[in-house]
Amino acid sequence: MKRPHTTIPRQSLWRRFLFPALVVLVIWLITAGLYSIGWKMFPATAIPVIAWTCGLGGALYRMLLVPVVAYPIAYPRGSSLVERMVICAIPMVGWSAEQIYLASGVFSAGETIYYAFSSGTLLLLACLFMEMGACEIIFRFWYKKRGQLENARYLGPVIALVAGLSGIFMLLLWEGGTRWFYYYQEGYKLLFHN
Amino acid sequence: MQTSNIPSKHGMRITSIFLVTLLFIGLLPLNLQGQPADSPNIIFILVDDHRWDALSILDHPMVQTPNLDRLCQEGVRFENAFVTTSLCSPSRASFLTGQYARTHGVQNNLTPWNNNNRTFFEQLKADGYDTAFIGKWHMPGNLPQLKGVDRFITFTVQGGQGRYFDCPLIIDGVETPSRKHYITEELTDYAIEFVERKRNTPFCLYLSHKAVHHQFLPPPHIAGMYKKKAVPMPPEADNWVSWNLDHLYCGLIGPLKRTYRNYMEALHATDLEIGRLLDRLDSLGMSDNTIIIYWGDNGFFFGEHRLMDKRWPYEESIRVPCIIRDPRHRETAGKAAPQMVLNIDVAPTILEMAGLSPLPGMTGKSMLPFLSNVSLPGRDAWLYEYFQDFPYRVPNTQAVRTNRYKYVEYQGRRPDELFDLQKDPKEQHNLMGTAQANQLLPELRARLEALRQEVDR
Repeated sequence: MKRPHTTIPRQSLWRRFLFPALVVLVIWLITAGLYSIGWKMFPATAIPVIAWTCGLGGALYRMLLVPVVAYPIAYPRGSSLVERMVICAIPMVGWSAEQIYLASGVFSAGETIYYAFSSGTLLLLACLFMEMGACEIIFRFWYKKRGQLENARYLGPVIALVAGLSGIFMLLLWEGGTRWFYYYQEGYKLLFHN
Repeated sequence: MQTSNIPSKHGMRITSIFLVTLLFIGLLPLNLQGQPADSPNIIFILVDDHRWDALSILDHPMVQTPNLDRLCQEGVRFENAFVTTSLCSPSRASFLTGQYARTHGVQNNLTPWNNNNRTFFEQLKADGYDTAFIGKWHMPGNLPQLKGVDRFITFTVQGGQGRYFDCPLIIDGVETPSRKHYITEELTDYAIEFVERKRNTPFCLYLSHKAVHHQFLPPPHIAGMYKKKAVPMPPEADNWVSWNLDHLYCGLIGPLKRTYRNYMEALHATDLEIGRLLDRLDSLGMSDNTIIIYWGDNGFFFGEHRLMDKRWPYEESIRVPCIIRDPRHRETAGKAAPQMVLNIDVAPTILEMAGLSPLPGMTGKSMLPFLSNVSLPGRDAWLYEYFQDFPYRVPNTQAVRTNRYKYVEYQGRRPDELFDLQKDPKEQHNLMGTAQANQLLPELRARLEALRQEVDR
């Protein structure tokens, strides 16, 4: 099988990696920050606006929209797959780190490690797989059509897409997420209650 | 001399009088249901996650609870009823044992029930009661060997939480498919079947509903009933408050308003089923000898403090509805009792209602005196405790709640809290670090320590 070959020019580290990463990071920080403190700072009439934009919008962004923001900036500038993965993972890693830090104030070190695999963080990971898989398929197809990508491969992105969708089903949709949660709790009991 | 085997007319009359007298004496202590007149039937109804203010008698802006309102009008509503641990399993064990979680050992939703725990059922059974536990058990480990329970109907699916629809039951150890589509109707059917049984003894029924726990699903004929009603939300909350916290595993990821309406509709459905049970008691002529005790197992946040769920020691979480309708105490019907009563008080109350003494080791106090006089002085402080329950990020907590103040000690990084409940009933202003706190803390800390020692004794 021939290796994929692209004629998309590889721009500087700043343009292809750091700048898209900064955009992704800033949007996350603004939405999360405004949502967590906005209700104290702004008048009551503004709170529904903040709730919709930074609350719901921020949550959707964190879960689903990061690749939608990152890919149009990073892909045409020649970023590698690994760079795109790092960029897209920034909000997920940041949010999860915050949750794990908060958990470490309550649970033991071992429990905190297990907490890192709770539904919240895994769901973000599943969403990331799904979204990145979809974006990879779309962008590879698009640039192939434009003649800037030869020997495009789709198996990896399709696997990521399917894995992500399966994860979302397991974590969020299967009996409203409760089925997975009870398995997770059983795992906890096995590890820490025997 | 010939003796006749045929009794004389006089002899027959004496025999008849003797037999009638015997029959009369025998029937004297029995009421129409053939029960000892001084031993009332007792029905304890426990509803999951029912917060204290979700009653239409309290002018709740959305939910209609006509049957619970009826209980309030015919009985006493305890307006300061609390749970000592705001979490299903520990709270349920406290209702049964009259003990704190630190004593009965069910400290969270992961620590199992100890079969050596003694419940009020044991005493009631020994005293001749016919007993049944119907509904949610939800304590970790295998199903219990509950001493003194004649009929045990529960469910184990979804970690013991049960399902709202088509929930398989475990009836006296035998897995049994559901007969009714909706769990609250199913449990009420079994409850009614139990009270309808012909018996010569009083009964105690423990009816523990799955509702109104998440996923807060109402039955189809109720679903959408409150769709057009405005949802009252605290200023600090918004419709998406549950999306940005770690409420995924609470099943609370939906918009708060939808969750709220579903909860109220499920509660409305529960109220209707309670009404069906009350109506059946009426039609059987049993209401005059049947005490109804109604409690919530813990409260629930709907965005207050930007929280969902329960566990935290704030009022929305620890305060629950408590109604007792005792037909022997009609003098207080319709009154509200202000005393602070606790879930651990239920077991000694039930035992006293049956004329029995509390079991050794029960920490709770009987509420029965308040049913005849709602002005009697009650406790002036009590201990709240919470033991961490993975993966919920609520630290180990101990608090003292007095009539006016609440002082909370958290384990870990979270700072302690002190609230003046009279001036700040919504607990928005932590007084720690203020001059007022410095003045109050020595006494509150001493009180907390004294309560801990009292419970540990």
